[in-house]
Amino acid sequence: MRGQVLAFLRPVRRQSDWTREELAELYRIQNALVQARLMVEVDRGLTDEGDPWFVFCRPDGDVLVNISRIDGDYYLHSSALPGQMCAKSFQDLAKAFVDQIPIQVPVNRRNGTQLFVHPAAMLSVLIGTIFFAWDDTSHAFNRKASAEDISDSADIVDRAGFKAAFQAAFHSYVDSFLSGIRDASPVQHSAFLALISTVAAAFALGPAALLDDFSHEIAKFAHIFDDDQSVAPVVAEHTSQDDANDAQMAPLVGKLALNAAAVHAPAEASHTDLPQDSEPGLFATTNPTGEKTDHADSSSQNVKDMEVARNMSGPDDLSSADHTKPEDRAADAAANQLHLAHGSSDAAAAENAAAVLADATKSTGSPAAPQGEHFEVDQFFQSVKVGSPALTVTSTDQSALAFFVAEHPAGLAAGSNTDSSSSGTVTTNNLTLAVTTDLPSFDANAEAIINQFLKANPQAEAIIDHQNVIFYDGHHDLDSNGLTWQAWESDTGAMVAIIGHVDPTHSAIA
Amino acid sequence: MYTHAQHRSDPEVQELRRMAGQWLRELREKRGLSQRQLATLVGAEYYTFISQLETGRGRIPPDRYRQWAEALSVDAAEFVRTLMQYYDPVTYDILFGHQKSDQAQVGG
Repeated sequence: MRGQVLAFLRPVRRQSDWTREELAELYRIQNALVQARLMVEVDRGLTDEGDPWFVFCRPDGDVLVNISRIDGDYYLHSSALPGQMCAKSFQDLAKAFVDQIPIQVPVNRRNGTQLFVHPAAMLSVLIGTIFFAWDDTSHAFNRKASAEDISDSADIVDRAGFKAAFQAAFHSYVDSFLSGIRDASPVQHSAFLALISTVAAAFALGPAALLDDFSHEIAKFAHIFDDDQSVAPVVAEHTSQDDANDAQMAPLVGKLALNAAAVHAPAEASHTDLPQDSEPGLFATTNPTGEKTDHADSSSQNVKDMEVARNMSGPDDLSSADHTKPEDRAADAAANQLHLAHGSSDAAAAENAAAVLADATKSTGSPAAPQGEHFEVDQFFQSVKVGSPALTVTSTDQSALAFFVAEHPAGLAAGSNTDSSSSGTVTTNNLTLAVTTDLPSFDANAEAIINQFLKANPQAEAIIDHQNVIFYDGHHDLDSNGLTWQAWESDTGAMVAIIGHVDPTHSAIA
Repeated sequence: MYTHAQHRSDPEVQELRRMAGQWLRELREKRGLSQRQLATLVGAEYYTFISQLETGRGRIPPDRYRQWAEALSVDAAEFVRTLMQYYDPVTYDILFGHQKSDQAQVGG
């Protein structure tokens, strides 16, 4: 009788420790926590099947957070959280966290400043928050887990209490982190904070306004800071007004300094040529084509739109758009360089942005003295992959507007669309921005309109909300009824929008 | 100076946790269980928790002691008493220290 050979050996799974990138991310989180003066220990290991784990522990040994990669998926577990989170990437873990615990951010802080959390820093924020929330929440959930007869109502109460505790803990963490930053060298942090602020995302505006691919793009820049692990992105502080006493935080505002006297020409964007006292900026100062955009062939609608853009200036100083001043001519030059190059490659865009960031890291001067950055939109559209379905105004503009709403204590309630295509007038009376039509495509005319908008608004701010770019006129009187917006969709699906005040003496968008 | 016996920052406590982990690993292997299988038996939410414990990170929650003892086929009282030796040596010594000295006297 012939025997049959049976294999009793289990299939051997190849051990798979954390990759270098994953470890870099995890240790970056630890560094961010250390910056926030949190004594957090870390440890890591492999299971008997080769799945890696990484833990953040309190000094007393309690495991705050466990992050594992099991069968290719990432898991985050903490006794302070109501449940385990699972995602396909670190970034998605952060997203899952926000989905589960929608902490209200931006937060109006006591000193009137506004905080925005960069998506790439979400995990460190989460873990830092857990650190502060540990005593309140972990015990609550341990008790809950051991109870067998928890009613739905009790569950709701628990979650409400949990959210409140987490919210308070988040504030504690942010305060701790910011005090850590302030005590450190402003030079050390200014470059990175400029980056963070410029791409700051108002992540808590809802899942639709979250991270995604932009985080991956930011990760491309991380190597610039690998030599200085003490610098880690966590929060950017958006000040509603310039504060000379807080000059080192000034770059966090992320304004486009289009009104500054010096506008760098393309050839001036090298490391050596960057003025030592210039403010580091994210945006490239180069225009690959060197072309000046000129769109004189606008249709009547475009003429109307141009007029709107021109009039989108703060009601308090609309007349200040005096382009006879040298700085305003420079602003004109900068605005005219705005160029949307749909054909440039991702790699080139990333490389270009990385070069600018490298400039930023080498800049050692006062961050409070903006010298003017030429804003090149194509870097965003081409460096930000958008895989999501076509954007609708309904979600994105609500996010964009909420970005400003949160800044105002009374809350800018709203938006109502009066135009079927791409623009509307924001009112303060309701919260619904009911625009259902798709955005018009971003084209040369849109580009010209934005140019015009930037010309008319030297204090314009650029806000990156999710994958979208929003230009805001920089005026903070959000109670005004004359807030108007206009938006387009790029060929990548991202939105570019302008939001500004319309001078009441002009009849803008009907 | 009193040092909290359960605070891992104390090197001695760290060593005790590692010893506890080693003991748990031996029990598991003796029982022929993988870490994943043990995690299932004790109701751990994630099986990497077992690996962490075996390297000395974290503790078994008290409300899971019985499940662990059962999964590892050991007497629950004995299981907890041994764990206490590692997790809370001060309490262990108060409660069971005399037994050791009694045994020593008998043996001596």
